[in-house]
Amino acid sequence: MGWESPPGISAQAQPHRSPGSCSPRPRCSRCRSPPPPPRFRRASRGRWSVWKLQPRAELPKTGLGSREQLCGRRDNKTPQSQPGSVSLAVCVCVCLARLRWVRLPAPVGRVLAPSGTRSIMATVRVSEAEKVYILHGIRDDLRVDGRGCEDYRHVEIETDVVSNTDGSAKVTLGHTAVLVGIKADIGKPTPLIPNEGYLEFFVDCSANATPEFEGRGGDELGTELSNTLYKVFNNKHSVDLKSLCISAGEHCWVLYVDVLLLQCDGNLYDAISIAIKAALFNTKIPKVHISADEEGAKEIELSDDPYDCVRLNVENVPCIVTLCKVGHRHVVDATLQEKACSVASLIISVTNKGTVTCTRKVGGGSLDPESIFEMTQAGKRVGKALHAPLMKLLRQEESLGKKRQKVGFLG
Amino acid sequence: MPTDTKRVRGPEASQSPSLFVSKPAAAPPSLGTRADGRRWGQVDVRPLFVRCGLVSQAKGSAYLEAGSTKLLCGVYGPKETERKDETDMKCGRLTTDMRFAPFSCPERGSWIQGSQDKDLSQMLHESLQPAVCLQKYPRSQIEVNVMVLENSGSVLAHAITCASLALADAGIEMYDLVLGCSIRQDGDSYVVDPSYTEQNSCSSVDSDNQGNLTVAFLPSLNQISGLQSDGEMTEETLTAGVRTCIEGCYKLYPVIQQALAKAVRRAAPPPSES
Amino acid sequence: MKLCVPGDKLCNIEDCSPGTGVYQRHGYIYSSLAGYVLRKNEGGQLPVISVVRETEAQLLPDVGAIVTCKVTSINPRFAKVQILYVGSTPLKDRFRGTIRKEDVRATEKDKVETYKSFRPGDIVLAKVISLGDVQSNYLLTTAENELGVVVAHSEAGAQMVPISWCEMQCPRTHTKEFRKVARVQPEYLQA
Repeated sequence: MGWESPPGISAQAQPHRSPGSCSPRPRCSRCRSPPPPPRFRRASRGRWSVWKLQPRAELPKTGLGSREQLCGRRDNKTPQSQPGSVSLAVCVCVCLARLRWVRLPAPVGRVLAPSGTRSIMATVRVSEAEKVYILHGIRDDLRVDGRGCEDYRHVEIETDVVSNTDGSAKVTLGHTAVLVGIKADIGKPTPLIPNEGYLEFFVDCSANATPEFEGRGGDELGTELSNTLYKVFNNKHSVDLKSLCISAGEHCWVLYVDVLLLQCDGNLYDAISIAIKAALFNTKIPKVHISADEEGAKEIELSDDPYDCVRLNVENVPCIVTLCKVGHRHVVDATLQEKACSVASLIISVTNKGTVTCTRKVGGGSLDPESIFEMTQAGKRVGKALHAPLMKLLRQEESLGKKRQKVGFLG
Repeated sequence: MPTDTKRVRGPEASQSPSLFVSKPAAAPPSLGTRADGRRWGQVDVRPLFVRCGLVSQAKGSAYLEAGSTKLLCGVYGPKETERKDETDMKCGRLTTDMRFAPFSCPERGSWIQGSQDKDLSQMLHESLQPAVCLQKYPRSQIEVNVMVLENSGSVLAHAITCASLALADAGIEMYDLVLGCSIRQDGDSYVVDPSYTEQNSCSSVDSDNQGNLTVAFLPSLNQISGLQSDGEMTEETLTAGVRTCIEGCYKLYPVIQQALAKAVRRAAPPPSES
Repeated sequence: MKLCVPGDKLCNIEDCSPGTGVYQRHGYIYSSLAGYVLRKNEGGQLPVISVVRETEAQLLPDVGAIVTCKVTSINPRFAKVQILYVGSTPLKDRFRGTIRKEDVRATEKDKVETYKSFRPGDIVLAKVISLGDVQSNYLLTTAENELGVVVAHSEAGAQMVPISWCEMQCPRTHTKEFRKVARVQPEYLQA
């Protein structure tokens, strides 16, 4: 029945968090003390940015306002020498030393062979002491990398990364990296809905992400992800499928959405949905003209001008929020370590209006009805807040046009 | 085989003619009564027929009929695992396989397991796993096979109920039974345990609330072990829908309990009290 | 007699102690099987509550269990066996086990030769020492006087008679063959 906290831990663990040096508060006040350095060196290039998904007013009053910047920096792979980030790392080490286990920075951990046919996500092994540490931190709204329970990791988005596609986007979320390419093809509409085009999803789990995806190892996860994506888009409003129709009953645009997992560090669903939204925003479908000759045979003419194209309205494309139940609380954007501490998670796809298009419980545990309701609420809140900054960022990037500095895959 | 290029061949793909029959407009939900006499907006599950132990070779089995949805489930094991890895040393493994007979749906399906079947198997697995005491079966594997003989809607929900019944019949230790219930939300109203046509119907009302929801519920532990929805729903509708499904599950509970009791009684007389 | 299904709350933990087919949760005892509820007073302070079914619940070989198995193949390092019974309960499905050379007998372990201890087809009584790891099967031992070969057939095909702890004789040809023979306890010899 999943993992339950061993009895008596709440009593034992209290001393660890008492005013000693390993209390989470001092480390954050220390981190805050130096004047806040520029958030990201690359922010000026217009491509990198940090989102704060929780409105600032709702931040817990622990003075952790600068937390997400720091955690963003920790996740950022660019070498840093600012005192803030260093002190955070030092504090974490102090805390860990106190608890007498050695901890390497975030995504390090032994990747195990797939455990059971169904436990398909790349997993890390987490010791009992580590579990207790993560669990108690989350109880106090403080996660190992310094985030709050409803904060995302640092997100980077770059669109138009693969030139052979009609639309593409690369999203990294912490150390999770996802590449989405969209190809538009002309196909035949399904006989049941003759006046609409359709979307096809395919998720490929590359063996680069983790060795366990080698061969057919990633198939199961890929099927699960793509099946969920079909459900997420199984409604009338996400994408205007009627606009994909060329001639009713005969021709329509089929959008092949191919997702490639480049790196796995937890929270694949959210990263994929953000990437799909960005790629759909970026998708340019060529304009076609239908001409009929005297015999009634129709001909499709493709415009010669590559800039003569149709864009999709992505306002209503939902984003997926995965909520991991850890202890009695739930967290957004769980890392692999946090995922190892959780018995079950709930994925919710939310549109910008707050409509839920798909929910699904994943993982081997069960959830209380009340906590499902709480998680749905939190998911709606977080998901709704995700859309505005994402759209703003996408428009901003679009507006840069050719001046945009391309970073590509090594950024 | 040489092909006759002179002959005009038929189209490569063919469609059932029934798809092109003009469908009568769906009755507006306010009308109150559904095609099978049940009512809109009420927790009105179809009468259930269940029986255990019909497959003689299996360790446990169950047959379930709800309206014309008919399912058969067999449980085999615990047996030695085929694939070994570290987790199997401490606890057992549950494998699920759900298939549709090709003739189960209005359109003919194929015998090969499609991605929909795989998805349903996965959902079935996630819904059953929390209920099974897998740590009592180290190094072994329990197989659950569900065959859908006739699909008349709410297949996943009934498959979950049927599979948990078969597991109990097989004498696999479980924390609780698992019951499944699904609803179809259509505008402000909903139908519980929708039939195939209801499940795929699309009322002309262009409402924000339209979708299917399936919940797997452990009645005695009060836990939700499986949840799946698609379509569009507001958060409030979703919450209300989950509550409705839980209510629906409680309606199934006595039927399942009786069926199990009957199976136990038929298998052996009560042991002498000593 | 009372019937129950998995998940039924049977009683408070203070009223009974849990037996088989039940589990504890939040101070109560719940049923984990569909079957008959049985309360037994076994001399302890609390009656033992358990849930029983018509057939005995499927037993799995556990550490310390005495199992009856059939030798399927041998090589210089170990003998492979198939577990047929756990205690006196037959197993429905196939479980494989391994008797390593050093687990054949308690003394002179280094001088053990598997060919002189078992032959394919022998019925062996053994004890489970470990559930094994990823690569191996159940590990079994016969390093006790009561454990070892109980039924063996000679090359001529006749069932052999034990003549010492390490030899058996064919009643037809009177040839002697080496085996790690079990001294079967008389209580198991009925029928």
